[in-house]
Amino acid sequence: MALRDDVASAPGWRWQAVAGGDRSARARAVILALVVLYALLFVFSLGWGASETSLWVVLSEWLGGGADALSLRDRVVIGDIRLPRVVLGSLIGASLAVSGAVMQGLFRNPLADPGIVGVGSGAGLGAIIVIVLGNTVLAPVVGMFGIYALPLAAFCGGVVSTLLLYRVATRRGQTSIATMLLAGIALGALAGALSGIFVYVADDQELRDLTFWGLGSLAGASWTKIWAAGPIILAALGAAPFLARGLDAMVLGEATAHHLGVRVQRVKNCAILAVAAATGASVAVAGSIGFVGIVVPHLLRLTIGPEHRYLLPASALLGAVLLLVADAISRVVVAPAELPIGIVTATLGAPFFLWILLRQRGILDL
Amino acid sequence: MAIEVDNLSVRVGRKPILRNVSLSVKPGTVTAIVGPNGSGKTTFLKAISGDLPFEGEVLINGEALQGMEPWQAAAHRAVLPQASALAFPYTVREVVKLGLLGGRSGASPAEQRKLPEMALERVDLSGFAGRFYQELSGGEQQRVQLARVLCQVWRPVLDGRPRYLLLDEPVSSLDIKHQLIIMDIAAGFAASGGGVLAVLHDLNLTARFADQVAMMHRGTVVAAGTPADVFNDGLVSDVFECRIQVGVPPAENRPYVLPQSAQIPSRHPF
Repeated sequence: MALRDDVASAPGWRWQAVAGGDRSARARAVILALVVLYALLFVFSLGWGASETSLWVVLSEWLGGGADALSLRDRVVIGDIRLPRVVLGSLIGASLAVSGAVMQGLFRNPLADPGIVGVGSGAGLGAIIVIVLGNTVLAPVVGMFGIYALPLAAFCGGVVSTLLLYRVATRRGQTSIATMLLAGIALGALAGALSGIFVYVADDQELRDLTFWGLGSLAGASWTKIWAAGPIILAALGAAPFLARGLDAMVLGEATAHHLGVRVQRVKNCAILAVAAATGASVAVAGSIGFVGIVVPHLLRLTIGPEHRYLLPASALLGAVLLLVADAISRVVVAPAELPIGIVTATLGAPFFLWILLRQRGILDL
Repeated sequence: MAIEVDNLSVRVGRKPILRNVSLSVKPGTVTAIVGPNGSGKTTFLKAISGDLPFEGEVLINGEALQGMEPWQAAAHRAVLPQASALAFPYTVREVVKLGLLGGRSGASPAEQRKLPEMALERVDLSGFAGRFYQELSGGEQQRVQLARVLCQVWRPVLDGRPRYLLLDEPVSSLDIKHQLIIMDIAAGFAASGGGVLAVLHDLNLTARFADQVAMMHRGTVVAAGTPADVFNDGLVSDVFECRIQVGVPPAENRPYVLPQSAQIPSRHPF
């Protein structure tokens, strides 16, 4: 929270007056442009991949060229490999970006990300336990859930750690955001240490699995994963518009939000629950994909302003767009193999993040 | 119809901050709370804004504050805090528009769209709508916040019920012209049937604009009434623990206050 004043008063912001102070028309135009961009990317991604099934084939199917025009192989490639991947990527991109925007609004800090509520560390611990103990101590349990054991453990770990943090930070029905931030750091360190123990006892194959899980990937996308994570993510995304009003009011502080007629505690409860569920589900099916949650909302605030009723839908769209682009890159760079998408988002995101920091410090006014 | 405060006490931990404060803010009047630093003025304002747990009773237009949902209270009163920091680069218009969040401004739908500009014009900030809040001076930011507060209760009377402005040091960082503009707004709000409760430090401004004054000292109200009743040499000097002279110009019932010295000769130990 100490960062807040720095950021607000840093000389690096470029103050350019907005005509009339009303950016809603610009925001609507940007959202419309993002919808178009997303639709184009969606179709493009379906026609993009190691197999020769081309964009043209996809389009001809879509434009009513008839199902006969497609071979069985093409249908499998598109329907069972590429489409789930694009859908899952979109869901996860939207979920990470919206979760980031919501957390930044709640913590009143542009550098907050979903990890702040402890989802990441908890999910990581859950995943590590299954990977390392899955063949020995937990073998019966893991055997029962099969391939779902890992995502399930990650999801449970994420949500449990958030609930724990929430309990620590809540006193007499009031959740202290500052306490939650500090407790989150402590819990993160604890989860890190416990993960360290499992890493220490892991064998080579388990270490390899661990590393890949940590890098994040859309490679295993399937309809089953979408059916597992999709409803949770969609429910959380569906709750976001109802948070917009409260998050806008909270920007002036909790007391002022209350004076404006907002049930502050309810906004906090909903925001924390939605973010824990959406991020938990994303991390569970695709591992940890970093930086989308910070970069996307920040980029949008610079263009359309920080009003959440526009910021949240725009974040969902740009998050999905960014992940589809990153996924396309990850499939090209080392083709025919593919790079874990987490590497791509971090390679793009980290320099951008540094640029934000430098800019806001006024050191580098680009 | 009024804000009725009866026997209000506030504790922080075991320490009593306010003890048995009773006060009423009647529609059509400006009520000022004055007193030295730490006398409990802001705590009192926070308690009746619903920010702090308290003992005693606060009725707003006959309804108990404790049983009210935030949105119900927001329809009755708007609160101007001492300072507001923003985390994100909002424009002035976007900040003022937050006052319309509850949807109970009382303005017609056609008026509603222009309301931020109209409120900004009232606080002498027309043309500032497109500027960024964080680049404004402290005094300008304070006036933007007042414009936001005015939007929330644009009509001082809604559905036959008076509404209230609760202002915590509304003029503390303003130059004298804007102090007078803000106090005129408060007086105008009261003249249109609303009620105003303001924590003020400037005793002369209080004497000039307040209809009722409550003087606080160490968590209690030590004197209440019109400025002419409350402001006299002895009481003001005692409460503020310094030497202050109060005068009343002929043909006016509004006193003025002249600070003399931080020393109180009669109580000087030597």
